[in-house]
Amino acid sequence: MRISERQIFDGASLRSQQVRARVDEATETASTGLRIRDAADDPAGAAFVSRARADEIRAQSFIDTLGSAVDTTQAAELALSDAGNTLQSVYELAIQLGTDTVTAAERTTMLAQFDNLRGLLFENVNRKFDNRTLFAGAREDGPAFDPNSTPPGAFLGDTNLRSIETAPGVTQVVQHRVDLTTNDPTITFDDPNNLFDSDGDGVGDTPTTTQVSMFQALENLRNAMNTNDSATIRALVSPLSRYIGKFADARAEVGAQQIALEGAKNVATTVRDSTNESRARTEDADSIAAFSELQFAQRSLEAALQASAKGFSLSLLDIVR
Amino acid sequence: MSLLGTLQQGAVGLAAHRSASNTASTNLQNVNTPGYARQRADLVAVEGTPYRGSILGGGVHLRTVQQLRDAFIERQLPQARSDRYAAQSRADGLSSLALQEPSSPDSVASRMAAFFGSLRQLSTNPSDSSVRQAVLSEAQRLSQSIRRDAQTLNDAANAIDRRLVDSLPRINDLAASVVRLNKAIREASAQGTPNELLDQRQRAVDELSELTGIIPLTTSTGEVTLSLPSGAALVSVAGAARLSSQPDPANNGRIALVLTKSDGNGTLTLTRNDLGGSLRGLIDARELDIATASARLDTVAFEFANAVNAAHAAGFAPDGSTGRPIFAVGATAPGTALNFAVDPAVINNPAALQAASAVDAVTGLPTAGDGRNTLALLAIERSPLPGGTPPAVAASTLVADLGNSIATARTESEANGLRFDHLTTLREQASGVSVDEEMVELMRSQRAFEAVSKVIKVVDDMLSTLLSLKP
Repeated sequence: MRISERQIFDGASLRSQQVRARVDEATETASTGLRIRDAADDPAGAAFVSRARADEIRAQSFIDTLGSAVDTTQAAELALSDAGNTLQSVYELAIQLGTDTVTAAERTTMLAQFDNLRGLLFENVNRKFDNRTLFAGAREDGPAFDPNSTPPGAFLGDTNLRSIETAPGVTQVVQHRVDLTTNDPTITFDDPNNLFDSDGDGVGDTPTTTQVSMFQALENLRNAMNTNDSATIRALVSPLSRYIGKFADARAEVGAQQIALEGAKNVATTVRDSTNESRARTEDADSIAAFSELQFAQRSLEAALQASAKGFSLSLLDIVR
Repeated sequence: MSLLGTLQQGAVGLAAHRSASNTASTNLQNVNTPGYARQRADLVAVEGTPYRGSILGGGVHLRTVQQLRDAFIERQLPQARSDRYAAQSRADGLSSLALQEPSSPDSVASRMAAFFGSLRQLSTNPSDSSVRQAVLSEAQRLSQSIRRDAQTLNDAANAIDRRLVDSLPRINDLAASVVRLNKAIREASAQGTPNELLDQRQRAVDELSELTGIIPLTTSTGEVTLSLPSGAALVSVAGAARLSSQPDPANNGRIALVLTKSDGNGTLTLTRNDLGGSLRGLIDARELDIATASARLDTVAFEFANAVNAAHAAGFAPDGSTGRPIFAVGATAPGTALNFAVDPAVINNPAALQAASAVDAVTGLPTAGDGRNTLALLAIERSPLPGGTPPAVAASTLVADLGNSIATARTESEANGLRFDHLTTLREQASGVSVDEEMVELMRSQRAFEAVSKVIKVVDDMLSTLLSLKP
């Protein structure tokens, strides 16, 4: 086989260029730590990495959204807890004032304490978080219940409860219908002052039973305290007790919402972290392999240059003088 | 044979060996000349003459100095060269298209995820103006990201157009020089083989093959005609055609190449199939890879914007207004990505975002916390666009497909490069100059020259001896 001069020099040039390109590639991999720097390096890997990055951002947005939803439900749970405790205080007051040993003057004196508790209850159910009313449905810019309405406690919100996406395609309600908590159609009040004739003797003998809302019960209680009506006060103890239970149930519901949101947040965190790990496995270079490759490429370049230099030096020109 | 005849033979022999020496010297001097094919002095024995029943040798003379080229390899080289430079130019044309690192938070797919993330946040707090502003900011970032990718593709296509236009003067010059050299070679051939002219023409043909993928054909009169791969004549016996460029209105004003026939009568608008070499590679990169990626980006942007706009338009802003889009896009997909933007009516007006799904029948306004329409917007994130995949997946796939095109072009370039390098090596083996070989040739010529000189001296001595004889 003939070997021309051009082959010797061009070959040396080509080989050293090839090895230099390999050194350059190895240097870039080792210095950036990335195996895929642009989509052409590994198109399938790049598609995965790109999608994984978007999935991480999506998972992070779920984490952020769920985090603020958890904060809101925590505030709602606290407000319901406070409302339940306040109602418990009213209930205890009613038991105390329902006994016949309490005098009219004492009942009148306790009115101020009752009004404080009632005001506190309105504050609890109208509580705001992040400048938004918690229990007014979508009417979050105003109070949920009107303390000045007649009768007091008219619901000002709506029934549009906020839902958020807790996972792709999965939504969850993150508000509670406190208007249902404070107005249960099954909770009734036996009015001792409104008797009906049950045995047909023409004389009223049985208290009339009517549905009563929490706020109506409070209003009745206040009136009974004012009029020193211990029988009515005693009759209101039962509905108040039922409404305390309703608040406990509401707390439990919101607690369950919170647990579900926390669970979804944990899932999103796991998705984000595992996606990040998968992306790193695909995208990142193995640093040991990268530095080994760099070392090897540098050795190869040295060998190629030395071999070329030796090839250049052997010529008839060097011998025939 | 007389001694004087022998002396004459010696003179011819000296000239022959001097020519051989000169040929080796020329080879050595052209050892680095691109396109040079080594030459060999073709020495032949002079026919002998009868002398008293025998035939006496007639010495040596130079028959010709010929170029050493392997016709079989030379025939394969133009196509290999054309393929090599087509693939390399296609890869070069795409090299600027590393749109983004795939994992960049600024990629279109990532920006889409961030946009939907901001909507997700809005769904929890639709009355918060800072959250609304965040949605618009993300919409703007997404728009910038889409426009940037579209601009990158457009710039790459523009750069290719410039390279196409810039290469035309050189192609026309080369074609004209082949015509001139054809004429010069034809004229010089009467006195022998004009090797230097043949080398010059071969260099021009090689470069034209690299640029246009021409197919050379040598005529019986020694002229070379050059045809484009589709058969259109670039150089004919009559003369050279000319390549020019003009904007193609049917292709967004992109440059189209036009061939004007050598007689000036008739033009042919060249398509990618008419061409080879780097012109073909550049047009392939522009028409197949970049145009496809641009069209797909336009489609993804168009379908995404329409889906978002439709869902958004169904909602209500805090002032009760409705029917407004978020993104401003045209009626058709082409050109969408390059002009992708947030609608001017929305861009500086967070209150224009229509997050609510209903309005109060009495007030005509939505309730402050109604963010239910954002859930409809969020559904777009996971729903397939008309193209068949969800938006972020479509954007990721686009980047990957473009990466695949670049990787394929690089691989093809390497494979074609290897084939071309192999043929070039074979050509070098046949036609390249070896210093060692030429040194040997030079010494051989020198020895022969010395030997013939000795013969002349001996004959001269013999003549002297004869002349000194006394009668």
